[in-house]
Amino acid sequence: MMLADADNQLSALLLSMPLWPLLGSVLVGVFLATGKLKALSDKAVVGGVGVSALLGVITFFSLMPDTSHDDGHADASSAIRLVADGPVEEPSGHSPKASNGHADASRTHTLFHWISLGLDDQGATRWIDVNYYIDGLTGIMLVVVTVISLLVVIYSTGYMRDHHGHPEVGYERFFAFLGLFVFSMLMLVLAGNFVLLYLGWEAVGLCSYLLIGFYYQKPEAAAAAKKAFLVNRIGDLGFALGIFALYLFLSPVVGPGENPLDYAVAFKYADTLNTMELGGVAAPTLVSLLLLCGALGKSAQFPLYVWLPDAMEGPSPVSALIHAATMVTAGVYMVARCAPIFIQSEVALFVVMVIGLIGAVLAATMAMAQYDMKRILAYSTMSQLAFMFVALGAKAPQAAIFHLYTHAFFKALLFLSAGSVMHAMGNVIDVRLFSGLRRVLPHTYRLMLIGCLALAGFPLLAGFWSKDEIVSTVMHHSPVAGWILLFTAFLTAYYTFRMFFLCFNGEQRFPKEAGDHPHEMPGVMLAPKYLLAIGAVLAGYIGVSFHVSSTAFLGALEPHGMYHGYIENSTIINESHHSGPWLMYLSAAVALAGIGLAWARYGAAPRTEPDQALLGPIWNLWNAKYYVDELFDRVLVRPLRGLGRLFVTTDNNVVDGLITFCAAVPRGIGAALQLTQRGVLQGYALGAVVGVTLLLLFWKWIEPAL
Amino acid sequence: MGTMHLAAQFSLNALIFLPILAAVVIWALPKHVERMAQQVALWVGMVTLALGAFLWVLGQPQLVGSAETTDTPTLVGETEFAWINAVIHDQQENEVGGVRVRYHVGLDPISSPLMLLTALLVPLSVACSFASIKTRVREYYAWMMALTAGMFGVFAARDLLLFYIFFEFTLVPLYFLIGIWGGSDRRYAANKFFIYTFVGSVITFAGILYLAIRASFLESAGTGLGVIDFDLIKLSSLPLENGLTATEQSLLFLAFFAGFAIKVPFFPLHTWLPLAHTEAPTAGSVLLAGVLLKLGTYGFLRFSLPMVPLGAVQWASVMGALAVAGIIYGALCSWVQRDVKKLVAYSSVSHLGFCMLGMFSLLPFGLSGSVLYMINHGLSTAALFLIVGMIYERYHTRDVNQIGGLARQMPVMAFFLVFFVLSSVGLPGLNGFVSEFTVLFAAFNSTDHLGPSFGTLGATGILLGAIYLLYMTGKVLFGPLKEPANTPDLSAGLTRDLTVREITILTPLAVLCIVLGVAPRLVTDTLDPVLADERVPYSVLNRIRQARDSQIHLVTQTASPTSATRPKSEPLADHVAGPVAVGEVIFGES
Repeated sequence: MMLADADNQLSALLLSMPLWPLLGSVLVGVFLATGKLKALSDKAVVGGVGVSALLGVITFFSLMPDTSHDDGHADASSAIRLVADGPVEEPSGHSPKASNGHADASRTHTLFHWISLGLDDQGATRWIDVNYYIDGLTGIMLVVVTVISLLVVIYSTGYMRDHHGHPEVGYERFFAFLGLFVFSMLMLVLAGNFVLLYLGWEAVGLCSYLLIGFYYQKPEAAAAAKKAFLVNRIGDLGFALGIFALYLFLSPVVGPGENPLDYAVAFKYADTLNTMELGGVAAPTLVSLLLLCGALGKSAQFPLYVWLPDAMEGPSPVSALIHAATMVTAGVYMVARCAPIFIQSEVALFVVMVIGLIGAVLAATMAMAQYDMKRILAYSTMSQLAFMFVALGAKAPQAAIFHLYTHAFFKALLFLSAGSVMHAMGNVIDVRLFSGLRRVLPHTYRLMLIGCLALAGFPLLAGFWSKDEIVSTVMHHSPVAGWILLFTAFLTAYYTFRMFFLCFNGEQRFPKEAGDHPHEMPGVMLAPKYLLAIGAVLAGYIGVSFHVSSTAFLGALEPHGMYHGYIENSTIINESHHSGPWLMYLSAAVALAGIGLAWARYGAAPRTEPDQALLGPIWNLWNAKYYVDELFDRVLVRPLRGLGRLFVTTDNNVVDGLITFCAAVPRGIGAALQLTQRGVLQGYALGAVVGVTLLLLFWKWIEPAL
Repeated sequence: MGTMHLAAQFSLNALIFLPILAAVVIWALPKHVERMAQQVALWVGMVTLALGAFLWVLGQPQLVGSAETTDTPTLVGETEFAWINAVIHDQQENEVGGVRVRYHVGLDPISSPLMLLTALLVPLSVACSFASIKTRVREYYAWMMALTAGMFGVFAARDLLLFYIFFEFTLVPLYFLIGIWGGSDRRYAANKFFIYTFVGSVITFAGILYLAIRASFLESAGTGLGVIDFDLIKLSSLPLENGLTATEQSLLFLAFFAGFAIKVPFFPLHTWLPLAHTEAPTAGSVLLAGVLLKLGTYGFLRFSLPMVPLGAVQWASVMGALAVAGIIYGALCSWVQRDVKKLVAYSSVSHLGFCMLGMFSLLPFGLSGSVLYMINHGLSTAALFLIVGMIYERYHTRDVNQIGGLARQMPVMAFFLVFFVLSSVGLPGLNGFVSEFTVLFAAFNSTDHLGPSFGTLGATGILLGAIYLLYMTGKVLFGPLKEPANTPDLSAGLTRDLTVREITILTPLAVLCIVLGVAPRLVTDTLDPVLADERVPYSVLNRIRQARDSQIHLVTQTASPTSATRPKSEPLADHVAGPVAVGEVIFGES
C-alpha cells in the first residue's frame, strides 16, 4: 500500500475499531470478578462502543470516492483517505460492472497470520489471516452497526432498570454481552476472508443466544435462545460447506501465496468457477447456494426463519439492535459482499429471489394475525429482509444494502418504542390488553408514528426511498416479482398500522401489571430514540439527489445520490434500472392505501378482530404461523431424537452385545473343557487310551511305512 | 547447547521417574500423615508442569533461537541407551542377530504439545480430587502418580517396544482408580475397560513383533535374521518398494488398529468408554479424556501412518467412513443421555471421530489439525468433566432431570460451563474452532482419500455438537431452579458456587482455550514442518507420498482394476483437480 505515514497511523487506529467494545466487555468481566467498580460497567461498554462509533464514522467519510456525482458532493473528496483505491472508476451505476476490478487486494489490511494451511504447490505457505477488507460496502455497514449500537447501548442504560431506577439483576452481564456483540458484528463486517467472516458470524450468533436467553429462568427464553442458536447452526453448516467448496474449486487456480478464502483472491478468480462442477452441479451455483444457507439462517429467511419471532423473548434493546438492525442483516451483507460469486450463477440468483418473495409474503401474512407487538415487528423485519433478498436476486445488491441501511434506523426506533410501551405496561406486550396509549405516552406515540410511517413506505421518509429503489429495480428485472413486492408493501403498511392503531387509538385502558399511572421514559431513553427518528426521516436522502429540472418524483428528486457513488467503490456488482417515476407514485399510493385501510378497519382499536371474522380459517392459519414450528418438530427434531434413542439401545445391546459375546466365547470354551476335568479317574484313563490310540493312528497315517 | 541439552535430558527423564518415585513415597507415608499425600502429589504435579513447560519452550526454535542446521531435527531431551542388548556378533564383530531394545526418549513437535497437555492436566486432576477422595487416600495419589509416569513415558518413547510398555502400563493405575474409587458399577467398568483395551493392544503387540522381525529380515537382505530392533526411525523408514508388501502393510495396519482404535475410542469399538467415564472418579475421567484417549490417535499418527503407509493409504477411506459414522453416532447417543457425565463421554466418541477424520484426510493441514484437535479436546473435555465433577460433589446426582436452573445459584460455574461448551462446539475465536474447521476442511478437500461427501457428513457434527451440548447447558443451567432434597451438600468444605480452588483449576484451561483459539500457531508452527519435512525421509507426509507413488507404480504395472491397491479417489471433474493436481498442491514440486 502506498500510503503516507500519517495515513498509516490513522489506519492503525481505525483497525483497532472492533477492540474497543471488546475491551469494554473485558473490563465488565474484571469488575464482576473482582466485585469492585461494578457501577462503571455500563459506562465501560458505552465508552467502548462510543469510540468504535467515532472510528466507524471517520472510516465512512474517509472512504468517500474521489469522483462523485454532479450533485454537489464534491467536498467529499477532501475527506481522509484510508484506502489506496484501485483504478479510479467513472461512476456508472446504471450499468453492470466487470467483477475483477472490484476486488482490489489493496483494500485488504492484514493484521496477522492466524491458521496455517500448509504449503501450496508453489511452495509458499498458505495462511488464513486475520485481515480486514475495507471498501464502500464496509463503510456503510460500519456506520449502521456502530451508530445504532451506540444509541441502543445508551438506551439500555435506562431500559435495564426497574421502576425505581435500580439496575436489573444481570445488568452488568447484559452490557458485557452487548460489548461482545458489537465486537463480533464489527469483525463480521470488517473481515477480509471467509473464515474470519465465519468467526464474526458465529460470534454474533453466540451473543444472540446469550441475550435471547438473558432472562434464563424463564423456560421460554431459554428455549428460544437454544432454538435461535441451533436453527442458525443449520444454516452455518451450509455456510461452512460453501467455504470448503470454494477452496476446493479455487485452490488449484490461485497464484502462489494467495489463499482462495481471502475475498480479494476469491473475487479475482470468481469467473474461473464457471468452468468447474462437482457432482453435476455447476461450481458457482453450488458455492452460492451453500453460502446462501448461512444467510437464510442469520437473516431469518424461509425456511430458517422460525427462530426470529421466538427471539423476541430477549430484552427489547436486544431485539432492536441484534434482531432488527444489525445481526439479522448479516445475511444480506454477505450475499451482497459475495456478489462477484453469486453473479456467476443465474440459478443461485433465481433461488435467492424466489426465497425472498416467499419470505416477504409469508412474513407479511403472519404479521397480519399476531397480537404480540414485538412479534409483529419481528415478522415485519423478516419481510423487509426478504425485500432485500429479492433485490439481491434481481442483481441489485446496491438497492438491498440501501434498504438495509434505512431499515436499521426505523426498525431500531420501532423496537425501542415497543420496548417503551412494554416498560410502561409492566412487561405486557399483547396489543389486546391495552389501547389508547396516545395521551399516556405522548413521546412514544410520536416516535412510533414516525417509525411506522417509515416502515410503511410513507412518501419522503427513509423507508420510502429504499423500498422504491428495490421495487423499481425488481420490476424491471421481473415484473411478476415486482408486483408481488408491491402487494407485500401494501400488506406491510396495513399490518403496521393495525398494530399502531390497536396500541394507541381507542379507549384508554391498561393491564393490571402496568400499575396505576404508566409513565413515559427518562431522557436517557428518549434521546436515542429521537436521534433514530431523525434517521428514520432523513436517512433515505443519502440515496437521493436534487434536480431542479427533472422528470423524476415531484419534479426535483432523483433516486440516485451520493450513496450510489459511494457503494460503487466496493465488491458490489449492480444492475440498477429504474422503472420510471410512475412506479414511485404507485408505491406512494400503495403505502397510503394500506394505511387508509388499516384506519378504516382498526382506527377505533376494536376489541374483536375484524379480519378474523372476514378471513376465517385463513386468518387462523396465519395466526398459527402456518404450523411451521410444529412441522419442524415433527420432521426434524423428533426423528433425530428417536434416532438417538435407537442408537443408544443399539449401543447397549448390539454393538456392546457383540463385544460381550466375543468375551463370552473363551468363557464358554473354558466351561466346556471343564467337563473333562472332574477328577474321575476312569475318565482320565479312558482319555489316555483314546489319546494314545489316536496318536498311533496319526503316526501310521504320516509314516505309512511303519 | 551442552548444559541446555543436559538440563533437557534431566527434565525429560525426571518427568518419567519423578512421579514413580513420588508414587513410592506416597505409598510409604505413615497413616497419621495421610493428608500429606495430596500435598506431595500436588507438588510433584506442579514440578512436572514446570519441567513440561521448560521442555516445550526448548522445542520452540523461535523462542530459544536455535536455528536448525542439522538434517534431522533434534529431539528435545533425547536420551538413549541400550536396555536389552542381546546381540550376537560374528568374528568380525558384525551384528548378525539377536534383539535390541533401547531406552530411548525424546520430544519432537508432535509429542511435545501432548506432553505439555499432560503436564498441565496432572496437577489439575490432583487438585480436583481434594474434596471427593476420602478413602484410601495414599493409594489413590500413588496410583495417580504412577499413571502420570506412564503417560509421560508414552509420549516420550522413541522405541516401539518402550512405547508399548508404557502404553500398557497406563492401564494398571487407571484400572485401580476406576475399580476402587469409582461409582456404583465400578468393578464391571474397570474390568471391561481393562480387558477390552488389553485384548486390542495384545493384537497390536503381535503386529509390532511381526514388523520388527520382518524389518530385521529386510535389513539383513536375505542373509538370515538380523538384529531385531524396535527403533522408531528405523521402522518408520522401511523401503516401500521391495519391502513390506501391500498385503502385509494392510494387515499390519489392522493389527495396529486393534490396539489404537479401541483406545481412541473409534466407532464401533467405543462401548467401554461411556461406562468407564461414568464410573471413574473425576480425576480419572479428566486424565482418561484429556490424555489417555490421545494415546490412540497419537499411536495412529506416530506408528500406523509412517510405518505402514501403504496400509494407511489403503484403509484411509474406510477409516474416514468410520470416523464420520462415529461423529454422528456419538453425537446422537450423547443427546439422549440423562447422565451429564455419560453425555460428555459420548461426546468424546463424536469428537475423536473428528480427530481421526482429519488424520485420514492425509493432508498436511488435516494432520496438524488432528494434532490440534487432540490438544483442544484435551482442554475442553477435561474442563467439562471437571465441572461435572464439581456439580456432582454438591448435588450427588448427574441426572439432568433432577437438577436445573443452576445459573442463578452458581453464576461462576455457569460462566465456565458455558465457556467450555462453546469451546467444545467449536465457537470461532476459541480453540475448538481452529481444529474442527481444519479437519473438516481437510476431509472435504482430501480428494484422494475422503472428499466432499466425507466433509459434508462430518460437518453435520458441528450442528449435532451444538444440539447436545446446548441441550445439556439448557437443562443444567437455565429454567427454574431444581435441586434434589438436602442439597447442595457443602460438608466437604465447598461453597454454593465454586471455591477458589475450583476456580484456580478451571482458569488455566480457559485461558489456554482463548490462547489456542487466537494463536494456534503456537502448536502448528513447529508441527507443520515436522509432519511434512522434506529432509526427513520418515516424516509422516513423506511416507504417505512414497506410499502413494509406489501405489501408482503398482497400478501402472498390473493395470488390473480389481487390484487391492487401486487408488481410491473421489470422482471430481478432471479440470478441477485430479489426483495428480491435488498431490502437487499437497506436497509441492519436489
